[in-house]
Amino acid sequence: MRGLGLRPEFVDTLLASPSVQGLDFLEVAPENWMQIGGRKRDQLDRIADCYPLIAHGLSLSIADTEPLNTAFVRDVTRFLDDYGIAIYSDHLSAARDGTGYLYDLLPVPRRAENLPYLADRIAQVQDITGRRLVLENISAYHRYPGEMPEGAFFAELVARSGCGILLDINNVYVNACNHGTDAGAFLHALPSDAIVYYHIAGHLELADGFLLDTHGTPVADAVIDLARDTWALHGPRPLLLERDNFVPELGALLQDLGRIAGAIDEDRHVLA
Amino acid sequence: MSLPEPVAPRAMVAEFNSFCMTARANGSGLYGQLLRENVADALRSSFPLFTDRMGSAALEAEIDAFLLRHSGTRPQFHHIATEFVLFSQRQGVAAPELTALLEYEWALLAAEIDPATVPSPATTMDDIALNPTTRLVLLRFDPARPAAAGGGVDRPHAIFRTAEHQVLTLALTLPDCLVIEHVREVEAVSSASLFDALDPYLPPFELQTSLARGFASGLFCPPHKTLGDLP
Repeated sequence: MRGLGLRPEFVDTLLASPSVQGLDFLEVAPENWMQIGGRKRDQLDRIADCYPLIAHGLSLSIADTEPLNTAFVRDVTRFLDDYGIAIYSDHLSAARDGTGYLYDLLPVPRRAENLPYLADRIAQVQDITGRRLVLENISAYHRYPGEMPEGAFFAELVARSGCGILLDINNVYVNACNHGTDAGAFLHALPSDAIVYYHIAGHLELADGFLLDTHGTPVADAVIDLARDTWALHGPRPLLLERDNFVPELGALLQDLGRIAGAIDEDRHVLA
Repeated sequence: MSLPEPVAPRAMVAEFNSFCMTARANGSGLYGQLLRENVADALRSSFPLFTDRMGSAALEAEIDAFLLRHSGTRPQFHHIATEFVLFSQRQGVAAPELTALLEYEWALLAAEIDPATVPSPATTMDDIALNPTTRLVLLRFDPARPAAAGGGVDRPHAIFRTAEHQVLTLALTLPDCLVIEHVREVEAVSSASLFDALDPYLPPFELQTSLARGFASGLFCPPHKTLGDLP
């Protein structure tokens, strides 16, 4: 199965032809659509009639150190229920400190002693939403000293909380390049049966070689290679191409998604 | 029964807050830059006139102050716009005409995404309600030429979204204001009751003109419920 993140740039194109070949599902950020009326609401209602939706949030801030924003989680739950969305994912990150929200996906210290707290937070969210929370590995540009390896931390969190994993293959690549860590070791540490779906995206390489997860360029060949390794290790899952900047026309995006999916699974054609 | 509130380990709180404080305070670090770019993108997208008038240097200084001093309580990224308006109003950082422009653009945005459903246009003017997305604002500038916003006299305007999802700004006359005030008080009213209620203040012709203009633009609409269902 192949999907795209729903973008305003191509909503009208999608609505003009309710069934598009090569597009099996759409991902929506609940924050961008919930409690909103007017044209956007109208568009989403019509899109939801044509495509299965996955909700991929930005603002849950599951790993911050403030009391969980339960009002927000309840609002998200209403949105999920209204549109019959079974899968709710967000990021293993924080967006809020003691001062307030910062509006970014910030890394939190990966320490064994923080795991019980995070698992309890996940249980809180799962209790409210009535759904398994699915968490994505982020591109982190900061490392706290003496942290646990990312794979071991994620695996332990899954074991404690029962959450699912949204495995972002570009983020694995970006982190490995920027921090000199082993992408393969990260992938091997993850429990296959917890992986719900995959993200793939493009990144920007700065002059000094540092990588930024911008979702604004085509997917790099090295990331496609890593995705092929991921497929071999964990098996096929729904694959979603993220493109949030310099968004091309829908046809071009779908062509790119088809190319990537074909390259990843060129032997077995499971995605075809 | 809800689960007990988990408490973060103290070391985690200290370590994470220290990292965040650095990002808030230091615009030259990578996360400091990313935070600032996120806010700037949201402001340029939501408030194009305001950000254009303010200029890059002043906007950067405002964003620095926003990140350092403002406690954002709304988690959604698209609420950066609302949080910035609140910050600007509390701090009084921008010149009054810039603040007016900011509030005008915020009202446009708020009307555009207001969760209320706007009833389809009426075929008659028998029952009258105010469009549920309406924001009433005082503007010192001509909304047809907002880029030229400057000093002037406050004039009342209504900003609202039509059933066809168009956002309109309508300059209000005194009769419009009287009708709006009355309709808001009672939620919805029959045409006959409105004429009775405003008879001491408005000649019927002026009221008729105001209603016709309001219905034609979408400022007035039929009530969601029939009048018999209203309290």
